[in-house]
Amino acid sequence: MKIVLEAKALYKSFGKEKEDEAAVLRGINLQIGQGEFVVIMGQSGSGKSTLLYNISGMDRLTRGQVLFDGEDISSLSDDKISKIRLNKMGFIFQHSHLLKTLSIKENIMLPGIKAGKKTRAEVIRDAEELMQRIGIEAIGGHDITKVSGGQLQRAGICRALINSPGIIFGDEPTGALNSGAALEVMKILNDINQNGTTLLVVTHDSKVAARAERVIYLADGKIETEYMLGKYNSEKEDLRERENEMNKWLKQRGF
Amino acid sequence: MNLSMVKKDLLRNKAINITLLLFIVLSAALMSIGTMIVIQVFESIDTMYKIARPPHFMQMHMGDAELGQINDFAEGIDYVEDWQDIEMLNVYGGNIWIKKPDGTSFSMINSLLDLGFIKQSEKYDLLLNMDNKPIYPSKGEIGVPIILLDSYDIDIGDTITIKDGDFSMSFTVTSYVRDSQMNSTMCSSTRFLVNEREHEILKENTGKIEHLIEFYLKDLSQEMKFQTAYENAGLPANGPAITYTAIRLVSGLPDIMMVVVIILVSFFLIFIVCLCLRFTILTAMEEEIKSIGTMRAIGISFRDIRKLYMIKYRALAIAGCIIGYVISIFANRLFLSNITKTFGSPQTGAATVIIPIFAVCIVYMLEMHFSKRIMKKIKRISVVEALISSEGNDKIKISRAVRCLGLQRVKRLPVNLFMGVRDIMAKGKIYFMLFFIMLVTTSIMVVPMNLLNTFKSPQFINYMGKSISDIVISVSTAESLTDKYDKTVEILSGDADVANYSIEARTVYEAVNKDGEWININVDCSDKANEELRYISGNMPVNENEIAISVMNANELGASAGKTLKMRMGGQQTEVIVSGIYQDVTSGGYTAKMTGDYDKKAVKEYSFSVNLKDGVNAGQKVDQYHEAMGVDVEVMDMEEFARQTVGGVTRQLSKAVLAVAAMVACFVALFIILYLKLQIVKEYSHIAISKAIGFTVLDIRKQYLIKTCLVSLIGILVGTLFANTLGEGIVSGIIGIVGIGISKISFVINPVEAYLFCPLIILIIVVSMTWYCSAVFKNYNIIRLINE
Repeated sequence: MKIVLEAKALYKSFGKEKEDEAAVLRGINLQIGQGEFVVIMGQSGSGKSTLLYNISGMDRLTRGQVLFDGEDISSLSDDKISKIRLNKMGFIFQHSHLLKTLSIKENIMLPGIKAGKKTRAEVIRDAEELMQRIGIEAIGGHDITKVSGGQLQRAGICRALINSPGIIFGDEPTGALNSGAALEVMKILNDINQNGTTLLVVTHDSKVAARAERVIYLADGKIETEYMLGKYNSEKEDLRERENEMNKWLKQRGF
Repeated sequence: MNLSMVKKDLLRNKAINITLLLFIVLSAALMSIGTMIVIQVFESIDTMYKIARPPHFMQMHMGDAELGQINDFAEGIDYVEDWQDIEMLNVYGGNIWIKKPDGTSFSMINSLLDLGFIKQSEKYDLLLNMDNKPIYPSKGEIGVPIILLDSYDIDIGDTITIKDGDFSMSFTVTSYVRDSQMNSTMCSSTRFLVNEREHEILKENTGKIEHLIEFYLKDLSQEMKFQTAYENAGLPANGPAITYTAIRLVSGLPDIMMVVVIILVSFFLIFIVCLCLRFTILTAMEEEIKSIGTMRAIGISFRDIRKLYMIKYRALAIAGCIIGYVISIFANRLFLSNITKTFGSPQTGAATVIIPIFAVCIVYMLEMHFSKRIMKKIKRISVVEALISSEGNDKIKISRAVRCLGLQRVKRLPVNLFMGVRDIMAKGKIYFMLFFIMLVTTSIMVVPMNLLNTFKSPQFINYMGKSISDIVISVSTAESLTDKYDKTVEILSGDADVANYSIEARTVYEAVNKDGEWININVDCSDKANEELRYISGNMPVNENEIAISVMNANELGASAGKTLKMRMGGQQTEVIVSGIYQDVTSGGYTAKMTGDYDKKAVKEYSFSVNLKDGVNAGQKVDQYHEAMGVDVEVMDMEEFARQTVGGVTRQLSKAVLAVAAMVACFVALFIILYLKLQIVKEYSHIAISKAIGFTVLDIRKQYLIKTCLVSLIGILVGTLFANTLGEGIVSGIIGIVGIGISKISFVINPVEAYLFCPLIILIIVVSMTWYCSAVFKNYNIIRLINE
């Protein structure tokens, strides 16, 4: 399996504290293969979100290296990382974080048009296809204040997919949703992964983790352990069994 | 607790608070400076007048005067306290030579002011030195009027020689002279001071005597009545007359014009400070809506919450007003040079201290009142609404109009431009403030500049009751008026360089004023109507029974266009129709114009407006006419005449314009910083999201540049148009109040300055400040921003 993302001896500390003892992330080594669905879990304050933001180039490391498609992105300029984020990465946040001055559809189209790889007509077509696939085609022209949280989150997913990125990063993508909406989002994530997109998701939710291929458990800024669940096949596997398996494992970790 | 909260808040939003403070400082300082200058101008004038004692009414008279007759007249009027006659020896400028210690010398031939030589009076109308003490020159000494220092390089120790044929007499300049009445370029004469004996020698050998017949009244309010009585008594009156009120006004005019600009700007600034306060308070409230909700939920009253938030703004306003006042004490010196030079250093009396403090207190109260009104919004916020509000709940509605500029519709618009324009359309209200402030600041910069340009322009001559021509010739010598007139006509008619000329005869007729009393008015009669004058109503006189009157006369006579006026001309009473009202700053603003025949015996002065053929040099022609017509006839190059006459006003106005331009530049820079800092605080998440989805820092900076500059540019353009069109009305209103004979001014616009230079300066400041403020995006951490 081709490695798309690799963290080498990754350290992160905030403020003036540079000492390793005060670091939030302490020497993380991690490899993510192409097409994998990896979930990061851990207690609050364990450094999950920090790991996600550092590994995706959204934040600057204190020490270490992040290789994306073989390129060391930790040494790139802000502008170069921005371009990588635009063209090769997608992000889904706990809150959808859509731009208020744009309609739902425009929010989805924006990264596509910014990237300039496709004509505007192609971007419009892709946005409409994505919205249809994710079930929000009816709200494309709406203001973001006029739709539900679940719909917003789905719009956020469409935006993350518009440039067909190789990898999608998710930070608690179901954290702010009710159970129904969360289930919809989880299904969508599985679909995306099955279409070949790599997923790296931070979550507290064992239901999300149960759908992943691999679960990494973080404690005190270090990878404590990993759990291989294997690729989820909705037709052959019972999701409840995976959830139970996951819950049992998490319980052992004191989660 | 409250104090620590204020301290924390002040430190947290340092840049915003400092900018707000600076605005308050600026508005308070300008208000204080404006009031201080007004007080100091009049205090200085009054202090000087107490020593110098200028007359309450003065009649200038060229030629012999029957002094016994005047004495009888003065004794016959109970409200005349005293009178005196000063003999002023008018010497032709070409006969006065200044020699510098290095041997270079020059004459005063170009002086447009009549140059008079007098000896010091006994107790009235004294000429003072720079310490405001009467000067008594010794033999060989001369005092030079300070007003001449603007046009001539004369230093203490230089030699002034008066030459006339074989006669020559030299003086050493030992002092500069402050003159209580002939101290402005708007006067027609100025006075040198020499020793009594040498004055006698000069009188015998050169120049012409002009009598300054000066009266002192027991009651100043009788000055107009006295003027009419004097003129009707058939006493010597071959020359202009002026009253104490006019002397005082003309003396203070240059500084008053400057004050008008400063106070006007400070009012605008207070208004803008209020807008900035509104913006800052609303942004702070938006940020703290949850805290407000919590406070209301636990039962803290609206008044207490308002008090809590007001502490900070009160502290800023108090600090700003105090600093502004202190600055004004030092900064007002920059504007006092003309006052100090002309009248002496102003005394710091109680009024100079108290009235500006009072003005600053008004600034404080206005700003506080405005802040309190905005805070009322807290009252309208319900507890629940406040508690469930979140940072993401901005009330942005994408209207149908905004949707027209949809990403799917605009195919070619670059993304950053689209984002910028879309933001403006979606958040119109916020950008309206930026637009409005740019409009106002541009106007503040352009309007005074236009006013200055109008004063400097050759067309300003129209406000001086004259048509534009190349040369003005004035014949006013009583004894040989007809001879001089004939000679002038002969010279002009025979000169092939003259394209055309018109003649205006100044006569004195009587008219009934608004109180039903007969008063004298100066009427300029000509065969050709003055169509180029600035008429504010009606038109030029066309028929013989019509008269056009100046604004000041219209007020005095209570007349308006179309009304009839009772007049006495050549002893006969008649009724004339007021054809129009025009603007005039000459002769104290009291003039009138008629056309057709006139009473030749009543003529006091002839004025010729001469237009030369293309290519003829007006300056050389002036010299040639000087030579040919003699010293009694005044020949002036009109542009130079206008420039020198309003020179004092334009010099002071230039200072104010420069100060205003510098202030506007600082203000725009500060405002953009304040505006962007507040906007950036509000748009933290927008910036973060944009960065997260792949926009570079440069993209986001470009978007800010586009939206800020686009709105500013529209504001600047509208402001420029406003200033160049409606600005006239505002200035006319203010000048009308000042009462200098102009009630409606038409700007003479310098298109490069008004349409290009000023807008460009403001735009450059906006661009550079936006670029500077947006540099901070580089340091922004996406994660922190998303979590905000």
